Amino acid sequence: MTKKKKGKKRGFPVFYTIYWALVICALGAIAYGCVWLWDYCEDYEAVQPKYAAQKYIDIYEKGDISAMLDLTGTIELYDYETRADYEKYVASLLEGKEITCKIDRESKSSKDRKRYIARADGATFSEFTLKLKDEKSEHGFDQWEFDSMTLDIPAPTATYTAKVLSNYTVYVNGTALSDDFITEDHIATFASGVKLPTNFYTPEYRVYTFRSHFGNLEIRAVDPNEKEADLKQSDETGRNLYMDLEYIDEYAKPKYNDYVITALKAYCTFISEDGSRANALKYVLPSSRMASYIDSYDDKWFTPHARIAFDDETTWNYYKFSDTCFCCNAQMVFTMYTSKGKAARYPITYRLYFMYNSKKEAWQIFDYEAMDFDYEVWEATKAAAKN
Amino acid sequence: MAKKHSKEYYARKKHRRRVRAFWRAFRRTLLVLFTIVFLVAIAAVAGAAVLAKGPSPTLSDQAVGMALESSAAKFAPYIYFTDEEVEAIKARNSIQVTDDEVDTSLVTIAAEEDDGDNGSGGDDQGETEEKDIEIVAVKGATYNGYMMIVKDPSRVSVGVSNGLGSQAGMQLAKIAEKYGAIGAINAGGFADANGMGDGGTPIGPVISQGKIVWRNGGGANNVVIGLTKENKLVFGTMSASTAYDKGIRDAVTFGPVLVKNGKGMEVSGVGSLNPRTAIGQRGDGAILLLVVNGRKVNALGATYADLIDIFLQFGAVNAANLDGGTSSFMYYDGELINDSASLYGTRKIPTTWIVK
Repeated sequence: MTKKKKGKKRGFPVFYTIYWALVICALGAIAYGCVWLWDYCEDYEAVQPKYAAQKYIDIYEKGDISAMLDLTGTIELYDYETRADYEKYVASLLEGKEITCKIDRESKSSKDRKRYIARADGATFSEFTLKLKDEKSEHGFDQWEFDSMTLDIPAPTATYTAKVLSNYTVYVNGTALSDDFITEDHIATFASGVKLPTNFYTPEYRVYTFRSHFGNLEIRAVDPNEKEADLKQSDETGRNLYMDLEYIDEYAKPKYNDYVITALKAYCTFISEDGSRANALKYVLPSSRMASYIDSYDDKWFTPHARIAFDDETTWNYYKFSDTCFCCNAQMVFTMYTSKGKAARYPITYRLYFMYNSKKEAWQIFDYEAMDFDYEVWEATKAAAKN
Repeated sequence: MAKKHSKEYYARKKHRRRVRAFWRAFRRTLLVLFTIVFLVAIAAVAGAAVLAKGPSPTLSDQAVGMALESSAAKFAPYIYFTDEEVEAIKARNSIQVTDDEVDTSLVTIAAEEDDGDNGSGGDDQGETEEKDIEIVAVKGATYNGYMMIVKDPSRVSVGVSNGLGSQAGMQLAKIAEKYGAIGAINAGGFADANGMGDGGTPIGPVISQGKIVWRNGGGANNVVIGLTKENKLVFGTMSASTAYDKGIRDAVTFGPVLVKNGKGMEVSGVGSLNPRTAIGQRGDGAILLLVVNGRKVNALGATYADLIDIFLQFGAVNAANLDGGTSSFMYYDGELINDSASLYGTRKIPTTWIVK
């Protein structure tokens, strides 16, 4: 039997056991530290204000006006203005411009506010701020959140007026204006000197005054029968409109031209003592001022003459006040010839006001205005006669 | 029967045992030291890798910027990034440069106040000093420091170390004492390869007390920052002669410009955190001397954006960055008042802004 050699039992030294244990622990700690550091870096990156700000910077850079207005609200709009109008207006101001948004460095900075300024072609039009959240992040970093956004878009108000007959309603962008918008009322449609028949309903004008931020208004005036007025601009601004009385030359002139000329001639021949008072009164409304002129007329100032002649008669500018009332201009050259052939010419232009006399079933003059002779119309009349 | 050995034999054996034990302990000690160094290196490399390539581009950019702005660690970013990547990081974390001239009309120097002759001498003079120089603490999320406000800009000038270019620089306090200044901050840059420079060779033009004392160095990216004979702060890229001809009485070279004509320069990216020194001027002519601490656990440092915010808060019309890092020091009334990043005490530097 062989003897086992006795000697010291050589195991793994204690030193190396402890050494490797510590090395493994240290490596583990380094690994843990890296994981913690990674987490720390993630947290740090997440709280950077640029991420909180980017969402709002995108709104500017994408031109998302709707989102902008959701945050800023709109200016105070009038009843006939909508948010869509404001959006369109803002979009029109920013169209084609380079939009930038950067953190503000020029104002006094604040530790708990970050201010970003949006510019269009270098001009500031909006800004938003971020504020610190109450709670910190997992690793104690400050966190930022949206605070507020403002929009600095000028929206100057322009004033509009619309002068319409009192039975018309003014619509702006489809919204009917209430009586609150009437700034002038009971404006007479007749010239100041015209005397109206008793109990005659006088069409009157009224003026609506309203304002708009954005312009491009659709303005209409409509009567109770849905008849739309032809609104015209009274100046180059385009913001002051009026409606004429109904201009009816197109159908009235062919219908009434001869009648009006005849009525005027009857009046003229009466004053020149070439026609009877009765004939003149046939065309005149009883009890009207025109009737009183004729009744009281006894001023025989015309010189004695052998004959008279009417030339270049014409009528124009027929305006309808109502179904029973209209006026028109009537013009002619009234010539008187003496027995020796000497002629005295009297160019006459009147605006004649006609009322329908239902008893006589005829249009009759109730008043007139003397006007300046219209040479342009005269030339046109002569030219038409030649043709 | 066991063999008997002589006493000598046992003595030699004991001696050999002791020698073996000694060498064993020595080897194990070396192993432990090497392992510690190795583990520390692994931890540093791993930590730097997480910073550089981890989930936070912001921290990565900041770390790269901090390393690039230091003298001793400029090489570090190139361990993890290519040259192109480093240039890209620099490009997205930059400060705006504009060509427009400094509008000196924005600065109106307040009329010198009559000190008054009250006959009481020293104490009142100290009070006047106190009123004319104000030290204000500044603090931000990642920095703290001091702003020295000098109401009379004529008191501010450039002080230089002895033997520029031929001798080592001087510590800030020594330069201040040389000129009998009550206050001082470090100023322009100097040759500092690997952070081992002796502070004796300035970079770029230096004008001190009305004389050109250094012409060399500088370049397109360096800005001459100076005070004119009218005591107005101006800056621009120019030679020493041009600066002198423009009436600049004192100037150093560094940059970049932070505030010009009342507007802060635009800064892109997050910037890097470092100790900083900067100079500015308010609209009433007061000179603003700023030193910000950094590279500390409680104060990592300030970015250019932070400096711009600070100067705008103090009403600066113009301001420019000076040499920072371990050179950033502020001296006032006989002592250094900021908490420097330097491990070796105040560095030797060639140029300072002094307040007499």
